Amino acid sequence: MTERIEDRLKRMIVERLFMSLSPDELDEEKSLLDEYGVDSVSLLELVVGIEEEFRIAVGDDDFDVDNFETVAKLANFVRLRLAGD
Amino acid sequence: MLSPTEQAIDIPVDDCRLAGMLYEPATAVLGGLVFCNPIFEERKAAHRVLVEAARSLARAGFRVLRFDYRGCGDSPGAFDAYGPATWLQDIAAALAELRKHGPDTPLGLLGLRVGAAMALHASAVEAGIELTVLWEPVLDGQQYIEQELRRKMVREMVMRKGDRSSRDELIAGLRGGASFDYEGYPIAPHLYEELGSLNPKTAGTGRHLVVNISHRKEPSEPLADWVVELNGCGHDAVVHTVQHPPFWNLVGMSDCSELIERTTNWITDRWKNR
Repeated sequence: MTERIEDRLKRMIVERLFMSLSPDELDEEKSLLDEYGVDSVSLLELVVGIEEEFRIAVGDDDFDVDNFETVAKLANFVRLRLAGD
Repeated sequence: MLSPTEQAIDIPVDDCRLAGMLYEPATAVLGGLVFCNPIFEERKAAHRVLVEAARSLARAGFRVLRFDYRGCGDSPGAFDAYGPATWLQDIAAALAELRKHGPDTPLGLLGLRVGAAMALHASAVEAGIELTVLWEPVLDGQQYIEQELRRKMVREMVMRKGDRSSRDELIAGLRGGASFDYEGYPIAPHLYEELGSLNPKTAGTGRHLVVNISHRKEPSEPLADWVVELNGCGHDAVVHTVQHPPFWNLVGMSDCSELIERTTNWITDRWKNR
């Protein structure tokens, strides 16, 4: 069975950012910046992680909080990119 | 048991003196190491870890010299007046200083990020470098500077700034001779060019320890491939991984004891029975 994009993102975020919680505990709808302490340094790490995990390019125009605010928004962004948006 | 000593020293180079800190073991000196700092905010964030590493190595019997490049930290000059070409001269001056303290002592270099790339370059052009330790080396200078520009944009995004930079605009400005501010550091066209052309393709004949510091258990593909390439060219390089956040990007204390201990042990193994 193919792993959900949300679950791949949660696993990647917890691993790359050395978060002290399990991927399941990461609420898809909660703000990564406001609720999970993700700062600009972590966010760049996350951008690089998305590029590696999903083999997509994140361009300068994609640097919009709306794309990175939550796991759900990130998943939506990744889906659009994978669909060739 | 006697403790190592720490002494602030000046390192002469051209018409100025670089700020240095010399760590002298209380026991017989097994070797000497010059530390090559990263740049920008990475230097500040990594400072404590590099101090701890210097102390650990001094306790193990190694003379260590930490110093600031021209235009950085406590050394004189404006940051935007210099770049890797000058900083390589500074590394050479630091090595010469260390030689004065022990003419027959084997020498090595330990560098982090850009400092690691410059350490490797120095190992190829400076005589008598028996080993280098490369902590998360920058393998592609152009990719590094592009990533730093992205960091600027991500920061602006998080701060929800309306007027945001774009990489194309910044690079076009540089090509037109303009500088821009990056985290309080002026990036001048020459620095952009010099950093962009920093690619560690040549290495000295000594031994090289490459340490991949990240969330991974295995080395990253680019780093592993690069080490294979180095060894394919007749070099003697090994890669280790240490699972740790990028301490050179973090504010506050980082417990890097595993990284420091493994580095100290590797150097000790290389030099104790030479």
